[in-house]
Amino acid sequence: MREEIDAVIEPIVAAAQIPSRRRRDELRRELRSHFEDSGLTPEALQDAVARFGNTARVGDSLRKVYRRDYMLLYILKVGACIAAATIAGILIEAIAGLRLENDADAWHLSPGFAHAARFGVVLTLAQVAAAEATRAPFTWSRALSSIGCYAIVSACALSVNANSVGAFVTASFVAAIGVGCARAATAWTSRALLTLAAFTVAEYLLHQSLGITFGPIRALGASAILLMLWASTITIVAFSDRAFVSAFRTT
Amino acid sequence: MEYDREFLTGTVGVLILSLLSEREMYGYELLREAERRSASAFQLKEGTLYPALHHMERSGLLKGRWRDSETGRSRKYYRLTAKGRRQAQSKRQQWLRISAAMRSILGDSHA
Repeated sequence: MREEIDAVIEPIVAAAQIPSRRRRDELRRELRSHFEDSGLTPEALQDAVARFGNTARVGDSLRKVYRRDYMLLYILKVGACIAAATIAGILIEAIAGLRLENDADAWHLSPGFAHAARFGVVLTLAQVAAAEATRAPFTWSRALSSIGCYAIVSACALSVNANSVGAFVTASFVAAIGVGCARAATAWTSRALLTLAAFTVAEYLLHQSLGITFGPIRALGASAILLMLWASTITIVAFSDRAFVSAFRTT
Repeated sequence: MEYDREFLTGTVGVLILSLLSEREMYGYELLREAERRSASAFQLKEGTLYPALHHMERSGLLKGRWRDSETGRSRKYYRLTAKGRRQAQSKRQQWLRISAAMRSILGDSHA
């Protein structure tokens, strides 16, 4: 009988999307005691389920009750994701910017490190916003919220430092290319090669349009670093998504 | 008896607050008590009760606690908080005023 009751309860608990395991267990226990009170024969359970009403609607009503908790956890997830991806991005830029001086056995960061690290941070923000906006199943509300948050952060950064406009425009452009490449290929090797090629072309054309001497080999090198930034952020986003989903696992 | 859903909107909260203002009860007990007092005229879709109870608990109107009943089965009992008692009183007065007004209107039309 317990299995039959669980078959009714579990979809309700899952639909409620309650982040706290303790509260989920309490809801499960409460609903179980409700159906047990209704009677422990298959006929009694059938009657109780009919009296209970539409279980999908009950789950949806409970989801609305716990929506604030869900949103808090979601914001925490995105925040942690941005923090981790930013740290990884700065580390990658630092490793890429390490130079060995010719006349001394000392490592130092290249003069362009600060600029590259800033761009890495902006690219991380753009990429996380793009990942949230395009996440399946697609919803307009989430897409517009993600783009809106990115626009607000961009506006705040630009109000502090107007010179960062180039970094935001380029990062948005690179993020759009990355999303497009991710959709165009399914296997990770072909996706990585396609993204690398697209980044290289974009780097080359961008520098050409600005009148900066930047050959194809340098464009390829810069794109390889971009690809590492891209891959690290994708990995962190995927990891945080798994952690978020597992927080709602009901069994 | 089946009622228009519009009639019942808002009644679940009043019903829960009124019944719990007398003593603490668990979900199933609340349903049976409402049914008994209304001579089975008032039968809720039972599933609507739990989201309402959880919402009221989170709003600080109710406090739930697990305890064993006389039969030895563990159940979640709800009781009103001070805020819930104030809300119950206010809702009860509103409801009485509305029902008195409705009675006078319906009564007039029958006269």
